[in-house]
Amino acid sequence: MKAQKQIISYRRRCNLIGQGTGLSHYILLTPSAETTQEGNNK
Amino acid sequence: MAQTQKQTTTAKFANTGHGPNFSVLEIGDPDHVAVVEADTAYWALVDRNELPQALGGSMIEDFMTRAPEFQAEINHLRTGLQLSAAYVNPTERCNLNCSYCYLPEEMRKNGIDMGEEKLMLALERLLQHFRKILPEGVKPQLIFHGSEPMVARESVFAAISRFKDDFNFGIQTNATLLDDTAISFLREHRVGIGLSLDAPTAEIANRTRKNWQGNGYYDTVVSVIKKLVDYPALNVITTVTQANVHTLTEMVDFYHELGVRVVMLNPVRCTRQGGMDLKPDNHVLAEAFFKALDRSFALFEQTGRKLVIANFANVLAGIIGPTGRRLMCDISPCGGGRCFFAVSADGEVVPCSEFIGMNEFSGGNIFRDDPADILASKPFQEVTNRKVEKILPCAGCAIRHFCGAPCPAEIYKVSGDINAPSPYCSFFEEQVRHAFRIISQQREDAYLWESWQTETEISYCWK
Repeated sequence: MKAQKQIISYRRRCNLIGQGTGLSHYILLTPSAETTQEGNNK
Repeated sequence: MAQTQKQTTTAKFANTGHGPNFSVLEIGDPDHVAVVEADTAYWALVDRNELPQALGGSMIEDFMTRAPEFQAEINHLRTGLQLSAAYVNPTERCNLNCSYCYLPEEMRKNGIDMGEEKLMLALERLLQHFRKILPEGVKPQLIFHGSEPMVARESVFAAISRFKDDFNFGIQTNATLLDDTAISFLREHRVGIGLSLDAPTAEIANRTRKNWQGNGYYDTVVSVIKKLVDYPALNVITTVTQANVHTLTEMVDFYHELGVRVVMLNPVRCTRQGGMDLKPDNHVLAEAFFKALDRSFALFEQTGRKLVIANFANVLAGIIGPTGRRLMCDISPCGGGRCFFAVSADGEVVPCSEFIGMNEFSGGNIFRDDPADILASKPFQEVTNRKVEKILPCAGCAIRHFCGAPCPAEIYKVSGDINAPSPYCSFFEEQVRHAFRIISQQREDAYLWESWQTETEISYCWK
């Protein structure tokens, strides 16, 4: 079989979804530096 | 028997037997087509000359191995999230009368204020609920929204002062009432600030965003943006209409020159007649929007400084990492009534700000009802059970989990039924194709917000 060298496929995951990362509708919620720091420490 | 079972569950090809349903999308890229398994939001960009191998080779085996994990992730995103934000309207009134506002005119002109005492009570009741459901140490988001929340400035600032340790606050404002004292207060309390500006020139911007006497505030808003441009929690919304759709590229230049880092170019919601009348043609919108995106990329290349167009970045994020998105419009069910809800000035709670003024979607009153009961109410269930699988043509659409068929409030107003496709359907299709083209060019990082890489991690990669 011919090698599949021309495929781009990947996926990223956020383990902090909904935990202060800011889920909203058409308004972007920008997490404060404080929140980001807390989130990253989890 | 065991041998027979093994044979029947081994998939070697897509689209037959136990093989996955791989849709092939023409994305307008010279090198790649997209292959999508819609239920899991899996995608691969495949050399357009080697597609037969992709539909019957090791890619199938690779996908089948990971499919349960992808499916679980999508299921969690669609049904497993907790409420983490509330929008609160401290007043029904607004000092402006924008042409496309989704709130009833009478409400904005002569409406009520919640008042400081009741605003405090509302936030206390919300906080009690969030403390029950969110992990310890996670602050819920509380966004003051409108109408114009700065009309109720004293109540809003008192609430921020009292609950500063309990919520991450945000305010969406037209900027006209943000004096230097207010700006200092919001900065000091690290309040996220969303402002609105519709065009790079006063002539166009003031056509749609104006006060009750018809006067625009372009100069005031630009002045406020200049004062806040270094503030990390600033973002600016441009509502895209027939009036400004042809200025989007200039708008990108304008914002970038000012030093703004995050904007949203949101197509106007057709939730009321004013919005419907100003809706841009989908094809015209797509063309102008993609040119604006291209311009933001060119500016990034020239200067090394990003202007993130966040509504597009979210679509891109939703493809690359479904759980990494920040906006919950482009997934079904949308975030309304499950990730966030909106509290109107009289305490009525609706799934999203877009539903304010639609009493049939009230799930209860924050001063009377337990938020848990509101979330479980029939009007909320109608929105939280709105899934693309129930909507035609979305049910068979390969990009149904990259689009989400937003917005239920808009669609309800346009079609009389929330289970219908969006008036922007063909624009959303093109937007996803454009996102795939950017991935094909491996330029996605130029379009995503700065913290994207640290907020997310690679969970799968084809090798």
